[in-house]
Amino acid sequence: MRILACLLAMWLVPTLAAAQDVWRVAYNHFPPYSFQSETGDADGYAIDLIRALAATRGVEIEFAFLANPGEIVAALGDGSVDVSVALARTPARQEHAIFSVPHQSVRIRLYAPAESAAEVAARWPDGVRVGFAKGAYPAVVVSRYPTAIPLEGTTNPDVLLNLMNQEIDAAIYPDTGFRRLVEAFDTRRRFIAVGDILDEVPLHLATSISRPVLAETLSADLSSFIVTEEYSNIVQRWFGEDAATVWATRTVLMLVGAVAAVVAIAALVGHYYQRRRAEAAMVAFAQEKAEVEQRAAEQLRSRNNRLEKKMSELEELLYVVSHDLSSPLVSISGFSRNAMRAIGADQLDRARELLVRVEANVRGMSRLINGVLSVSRIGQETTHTEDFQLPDIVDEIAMHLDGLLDARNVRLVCDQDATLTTDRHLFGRALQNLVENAVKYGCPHDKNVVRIIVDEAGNRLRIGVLDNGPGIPQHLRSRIFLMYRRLQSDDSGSGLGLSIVSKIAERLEASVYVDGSTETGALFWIDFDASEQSQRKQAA
Amino acid sequence: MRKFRILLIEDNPDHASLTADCLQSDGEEVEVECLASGEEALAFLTDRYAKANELPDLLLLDINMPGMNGLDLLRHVKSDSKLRIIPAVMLSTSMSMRDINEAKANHANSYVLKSSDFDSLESALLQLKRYWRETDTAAPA
Repeated sequence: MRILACLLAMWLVPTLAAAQDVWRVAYNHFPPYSFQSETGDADGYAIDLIRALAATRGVEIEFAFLANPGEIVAALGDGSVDVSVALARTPARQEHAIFSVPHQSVRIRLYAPAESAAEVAARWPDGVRVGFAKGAYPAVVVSRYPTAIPLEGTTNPDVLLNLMNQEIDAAIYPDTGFRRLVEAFDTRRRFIAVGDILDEVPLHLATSISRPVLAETLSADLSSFIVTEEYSNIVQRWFGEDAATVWATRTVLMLVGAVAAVVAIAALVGHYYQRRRAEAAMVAFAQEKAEVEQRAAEQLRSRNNRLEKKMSELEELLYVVSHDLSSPLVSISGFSRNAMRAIGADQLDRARELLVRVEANVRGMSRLINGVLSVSRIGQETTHTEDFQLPDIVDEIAMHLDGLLDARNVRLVCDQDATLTTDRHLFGRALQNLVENAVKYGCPHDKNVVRIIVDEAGNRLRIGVLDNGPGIPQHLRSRIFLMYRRLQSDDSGSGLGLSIVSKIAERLEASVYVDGSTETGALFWIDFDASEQSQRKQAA
Repeated sequence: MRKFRILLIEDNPDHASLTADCLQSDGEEVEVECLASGEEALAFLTDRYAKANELPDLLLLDINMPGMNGLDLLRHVKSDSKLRIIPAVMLSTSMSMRDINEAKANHANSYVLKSSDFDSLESALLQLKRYWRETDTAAPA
């Protein structure tokens, strides 16, 4: 029996001595109650408390920083740690740990941005996205807010980040802690408590279930310590005004690290999005380039078509002009040879007759050459846009063509007024050409009228020249400007009158065509788009 | 012996008179009927055939004329079973291959360029006249 007692004493003494020499203390990140400082040391209200208790016993402490209360409870249960500094008591936890008297309490409140706090209060708890730091509260507290979202990450600042990013509408947080957290973040946004205190959770020292003696000792020591001035100092340090600054400073330092990490991540994310944006910009650029190329190709095609049309018009002109120039040359050649023969045979009257024909053909050639030059000049002349009245122009034309009108017994009538805004000189020439044609080919009677007609409807202003001749046959109406051909043989003109009119119209951005609706008499229109006219007027 | 009958379709009166002169410049008298348009010529031919079964021995067709031009008239003549036997010669200042090919495609029997070298034009017209006078039947169209 003595031997047994000796053996028991030999086993117990070192065990107890060891137990008394070192407390293995578990804590988690739960500022300001407990947290790991920037140097990796344990810090906080509860850490100061356990240090003070250990000091009175002359015991050393080994701190174990664990991820969350769940791990702490497990460590207490399997005896790998002796004490935890600040833990709420729940029935489940009492199976693994022995709880002391409470030494502090955590008031839990709901926090929301000041601007939306009223709305959150009105809706709470339905329809409010509530977040809380996962693992920070006993299950019993959390179970009261089944819609609350446990936020990943072990640091409570995550809650504030989520709140600031508007991922949640409100956060469940210990009141003292939240104030410190916001101060530490130095956020310009205001967050305020919404409604009453949700919960007040007492905090205890929790001792491993395998250390009932130690539990007894700590609980007794705590009861006597919390009434001392030293304890008041600790409370003042962590929850008083000064304490706020100290804690905030430490948290700021810690947060600087966190922010640096966030910045680094943001930089990576930024780089990723920058690359995405660059890729998107390149795709957009490629699309734009393709569109520009397509537009350029279309412009080129339409320009080519216009050029081809012009070329074919020019070929047509060349064809007709070469015929109309060759034709008098044949006559001149024939008549002059015959005239020489007649002179040789002393038939001077016959020779004179032939030379008159030579002269007439030379005049015809000259008119044609001048006509071709006129057509080519129209494209080169600069235009001067001005306002003028149609009847004034008609009077000028009547004066110019006085002889012709008299000879053919034609009355030129214009009983409608219109204000035109275009090049007066070019328009006058075009109109005169049309009137001349009307007089020459459209006035077969003893008494004739050539009428100038105004048709103003909406944006359109058309000036028409109507004769009382046979009209233009249907099958020639579309070709008449293109072919530059006279419909009747006639020696009096160059044959290029309509070609000149067409060219002038093009220059004045107007169109010219034969009216298809007239039964008798030819009606030619010079057609201006009034909106284009007003644009030109504004530009002028 | 009956005179060789030529129908000249020409809208330019100077060319008409010069051509008619050329055709008789060798001293041989020929009958030259001159009409100024394709429409007139077609009516004339149709009417002449219907009334007297009489047709010209040679058609000389100017190409560039207002209204029905020489090539249009050629098409009508060469697609008409009674008129197609008449030799048809085109007369034109046009050296355009478009006109020459169209004349060929529409069975013109020849194509004479109205040259401003009047002597060569005259000799070409005289040669044509002699050729078709000495040829009994028209070339198959």
